[in-house]
Amino acid sequence: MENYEKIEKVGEGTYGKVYKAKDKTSGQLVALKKTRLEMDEEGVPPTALREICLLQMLSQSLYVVRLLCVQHIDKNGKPLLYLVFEYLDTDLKKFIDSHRRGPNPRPLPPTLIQSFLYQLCKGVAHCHSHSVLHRDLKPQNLLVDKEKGILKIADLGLGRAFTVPLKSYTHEIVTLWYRAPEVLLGSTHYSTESTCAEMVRRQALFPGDSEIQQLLHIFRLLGTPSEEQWPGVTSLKEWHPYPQWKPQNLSRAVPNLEPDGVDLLSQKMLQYDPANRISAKAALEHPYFDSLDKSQF
Amino acid sequence: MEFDLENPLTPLQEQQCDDIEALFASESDHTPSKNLSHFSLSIRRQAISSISQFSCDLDPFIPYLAVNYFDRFISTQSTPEPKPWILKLLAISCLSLAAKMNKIEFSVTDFQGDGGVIFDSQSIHRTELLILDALKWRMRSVTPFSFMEFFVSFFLLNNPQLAQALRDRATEVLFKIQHETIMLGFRPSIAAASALVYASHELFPSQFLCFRSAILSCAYVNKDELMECCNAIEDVTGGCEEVMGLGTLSCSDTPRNVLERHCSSSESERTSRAGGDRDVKRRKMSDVCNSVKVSQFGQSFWGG
Repeated sequence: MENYEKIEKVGEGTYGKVYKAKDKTSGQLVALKKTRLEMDEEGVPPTALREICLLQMLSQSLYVVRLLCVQHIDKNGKPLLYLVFEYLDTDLKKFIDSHRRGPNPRPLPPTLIQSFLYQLCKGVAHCHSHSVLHRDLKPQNLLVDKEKGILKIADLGLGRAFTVPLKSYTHEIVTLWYRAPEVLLGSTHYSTESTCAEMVRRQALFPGDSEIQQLLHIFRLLGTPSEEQWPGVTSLKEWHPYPQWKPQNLSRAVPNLEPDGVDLLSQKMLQYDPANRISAKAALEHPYFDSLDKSQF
Repeated sequence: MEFDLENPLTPLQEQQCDDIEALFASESDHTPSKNLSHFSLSIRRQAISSISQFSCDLDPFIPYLAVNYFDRFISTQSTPEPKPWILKLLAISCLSLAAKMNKIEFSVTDFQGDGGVIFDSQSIHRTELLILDALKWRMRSVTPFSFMEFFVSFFLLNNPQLAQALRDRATEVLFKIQHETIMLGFRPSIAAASALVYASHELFPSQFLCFRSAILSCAYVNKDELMECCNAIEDVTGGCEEVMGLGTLSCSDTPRNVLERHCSSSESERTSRAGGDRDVKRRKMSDVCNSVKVSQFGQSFWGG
């Protein structure tokens, strides 16, 4: 690791500490993710080996943050693993905030929203084709290259080998605001569309501060789900008789989104029944993206 | 469903051009150096013999992967002469890593072999890390098997049993030839395509020419490389007795039974089976090749 000069700690990811650093030879900025390599009586755990392979494969997509290399060092007899990723200085959260606050508040250009959503669907489809679900998809985990207009998925939480799970695995990990109702109800892609709506609104679509609040936020906008809309919903673990709200017109929540975009969001993506939700791959073919020059991706 | 790291292209119907392109693009990252020194080759032979010795009861894919790791490892080393015990330790550690990647569980003591050197688990774990670092933690190996499904699809076999027979025979061939030095010179994809072409010649002689041109129509296949590789396979499998090594695969009973049912092999051929494996193959080839000698088989592939 002597080849990298740590500049500052930039966060605590799912994996452990993350540093911004510089490659001393090339001058390239990188993100170093430090993680303990938990050795058991079998040595390097198989899950760690396999997950690193998956990360390497996933990062072949332009729309997933690139894993440049993996290095292991021994610190006082304890093996540490550094995952070296390409460094991008903005994430979608900061990017959206910069359009909301600051000296020059303005909406994100519709073509940029369209392009970002398309890239996000591309990245998600790539992960899905490798049987990987991003369990914590949210604007903070989507890195943005402002100059090139590229959006990349980061912090892929494969990490059973790396993560110390907070509580139970599925329940606690997906950040609340973007969490799909079936997860909240005790049973992801849903996160994609909440993120899209946030780009349009420049604030979160469902900013809940507790699980129940979160559900009520969702129900208030989309209407309380019925057995008819979502077969099996009332048998989910956390189901209670909630107030009966009628669905709102989504175009009022995202007033600047063109009709095709509203259709993709409301009719295809923000569907209660996960079985009716559009797949990332199919979403790429939605008319909303017809006006986009797809050859550039 | 968990993603299959070694067979990224299954299920076939969901294949995407991007994935296939990525696989072909990545094969050079996962293949050993073509120019191993004379010395490295002799080390390689010793290590392969250790790996074979330690892996008698394993799925043959595990030692296959272990040899691939070892090959890639020595490609990165400018070796001072390793002591025999170090070589054994490396061989065991490659096997241990291959087993982990395939989620095969067994304790390190299973690797000790009979009467040989005993290594404690700590030494093995340290050697694992040494190999991992040398291989940059790229433990997913792109082997010929990664390309098998892709190339089988070119054969347009409607009958799943025939497709399986083809796959089985090509797999058997690939296991047999891995240890041959000459095979280090071929990309994994070419080895896969060649093994299938070779197997199709044995199994479906009458359709062989169609198959060959189908494979050649693939943009990723270079005709000269395929020819060279087919010739190498023929030299290796046709020439001598059972190639050293894994030997755990049973001989190709299944394919031949399937063939019997579907390809209506001639009565004379059936009666000659008592004469042994190789005779049958020899006869089948000669049916098509108009009685050229087995050693010239490769040439007959290419009409001279």
